[in-house]
Amino acid sequence: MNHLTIILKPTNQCNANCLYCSAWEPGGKNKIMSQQTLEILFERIEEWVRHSKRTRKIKIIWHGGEPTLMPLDFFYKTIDLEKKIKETHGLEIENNIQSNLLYLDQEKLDMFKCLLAFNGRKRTIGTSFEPLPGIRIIKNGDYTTEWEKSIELLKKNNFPFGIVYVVHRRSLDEFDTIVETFLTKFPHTGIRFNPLYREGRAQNHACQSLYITPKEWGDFLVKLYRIWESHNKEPGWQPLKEIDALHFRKDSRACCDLAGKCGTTHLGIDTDGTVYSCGRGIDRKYKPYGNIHQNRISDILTSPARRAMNNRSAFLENTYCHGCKWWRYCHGGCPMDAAIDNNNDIFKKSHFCLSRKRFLETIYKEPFVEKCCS
Amino acid sequence: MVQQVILVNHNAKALEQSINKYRNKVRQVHYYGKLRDTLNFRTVIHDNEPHPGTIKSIKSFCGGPGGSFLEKSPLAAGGKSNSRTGFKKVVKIFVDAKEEIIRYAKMLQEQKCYICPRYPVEKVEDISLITSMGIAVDLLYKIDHMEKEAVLKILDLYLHHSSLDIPIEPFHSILVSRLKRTKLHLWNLHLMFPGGFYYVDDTGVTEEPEKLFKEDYLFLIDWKSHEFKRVNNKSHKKNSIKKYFEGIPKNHPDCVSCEHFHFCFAWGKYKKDTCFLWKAILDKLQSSAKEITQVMANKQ
Repeated sequence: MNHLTIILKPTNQCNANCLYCSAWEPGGKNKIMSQQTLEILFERIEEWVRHSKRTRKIKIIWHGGEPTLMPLDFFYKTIDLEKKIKETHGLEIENNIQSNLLYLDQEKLDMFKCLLAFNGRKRTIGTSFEPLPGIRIIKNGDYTTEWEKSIELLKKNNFPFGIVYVVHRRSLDEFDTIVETFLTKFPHTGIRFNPLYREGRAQNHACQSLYITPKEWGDFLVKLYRIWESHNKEPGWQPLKEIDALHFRKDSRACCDLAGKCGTTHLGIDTDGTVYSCGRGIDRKYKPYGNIHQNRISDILTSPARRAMNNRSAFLENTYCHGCKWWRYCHGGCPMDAAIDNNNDIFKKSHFCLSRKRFLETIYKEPFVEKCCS
Repeated sequence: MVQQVILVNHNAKALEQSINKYRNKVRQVHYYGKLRDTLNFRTVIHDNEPHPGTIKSIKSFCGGPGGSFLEKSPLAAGGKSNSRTGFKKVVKIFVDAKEEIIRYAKMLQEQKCYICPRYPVEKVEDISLITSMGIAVDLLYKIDHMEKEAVLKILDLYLHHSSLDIPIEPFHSILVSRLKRTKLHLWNLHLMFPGGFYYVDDTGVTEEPEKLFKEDYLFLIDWKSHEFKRVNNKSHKKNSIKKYFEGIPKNHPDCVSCEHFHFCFAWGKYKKDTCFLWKAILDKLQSSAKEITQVMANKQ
């Protein structure tokens, strides 16, 4: 194992009420990671680093719920624990965060300057934005207004940020507005476009009008690509940029949902220390690998549930995806998409296969050609 | 470019015609036949590839200057072809009795072929007899019917015998694939992968002639042979294995959680139960590959 990405959810609490929230649990209790669990996590990491000859990099992505709701000293404790690992083993842990930014202030930002620093540089804060009203909601005030205040704070502090945008039915109807907003307000900001997936609150009846079909998602990507192409392929709009890099430069550093090896590179750790495949695995509570309170990381990495996740890509390549010319671009997609579509069976394709094929056939016509062995 | 032509035929003329017909379209030719039939092809099959490297050459590579032994494994994916004919040839001969091998030893040594024993293999000597004559062995078709102890002893012979300089398959191909981190599939080794091979009759005509020029694999089969029966309903056979594959997560959930799944793909549970045997083989080869990798890393 050369590197490991841990999606860490220190809390499931959130100060927003987004219609399509995938992390929301019906009747779920508010949960917060204890200091003890945090300390055990870093003990487990240290134990693993000590015994593993091949560990090169660990990345933690703080997620939730809303991670900034955690007390400041929780994160300062994290900084201390990570510093200790660096001093003892020479391993620097990279931290990223995905936050709605609604609870951001200067004090927290100062903490992030320490936590998110890596190799002497600031890491990007990930956030989400919705140009259309009535989708992302908070109890008091207007979501967009509060969010934009935080963006100004980030800009004032010269802190880079990236945006995740969830594509839904209204995005299709108001495509021009969405694109225009992103191009004018965030002309140099990286944006990741994700389709709405039916998890958490998005399963509610109220959300059904926001669902999009696989065909619509594929068509959205095609339309978006044409705009992006006309702007000299700037800024970094994902997944377009990474697919383009793969196609034209054979750069295979795709995001987890296309790389087909998330089973080997990712873990998700819930508030109580239970370990899953990733953040989406936590949301779905899909076949836990173990718990850091009881299991060492080396045991978690060799658990049957993780092995099955690892083997998914090979299974699909030799069955339902066998012979697909676009295999190298997708590797069967996200296992959790397949789980949603197939009653928790990850050994099937997801319906987004259709979307990807539609996009790839339209934009690229044929896949890139590998060099032949002669 | 067609990747692979498998010829199982005792008709020398037909074989030569087939090779000539597809000469520009193939990368590999496998000939599988009985001993005496194969010897008739000595003039047809010439310019054979030298044997691939063996564990001995791997070990001497670790001790000495670099070599290209990893490239020369015809049964593993991505093997190179250096012959004048432009394609790689693999000759496998099915032998009913040890005495036949002894009788034709000199000719077999010249053939550079693989002996596939059909006689009972119960002890190491059943194989070391062949390897000591400088003839390679392929146990692929025998392993599922052998005792675990015998298999592991022969595996030990392959891994540790200091003077062994001839490969024992499928151990060698598996080890090389582990070292090179290339994909290798037990079903492909058995030429049974659904959609991976096309069946063509003795005249070389396929059911779907256009596919001959588009698809990767071409399979010419002698349906009179015991090992490769002609399947009248070719799509049916393909579908029954395909259905087996798709049913693996439900019918064999242990398989999808197995670290060797990439290689085995539930072969060990297909119409039999030799899972325990393959696991033992793969565990041992995996750990040998790790050791060799470690040695190579330390040398650099």
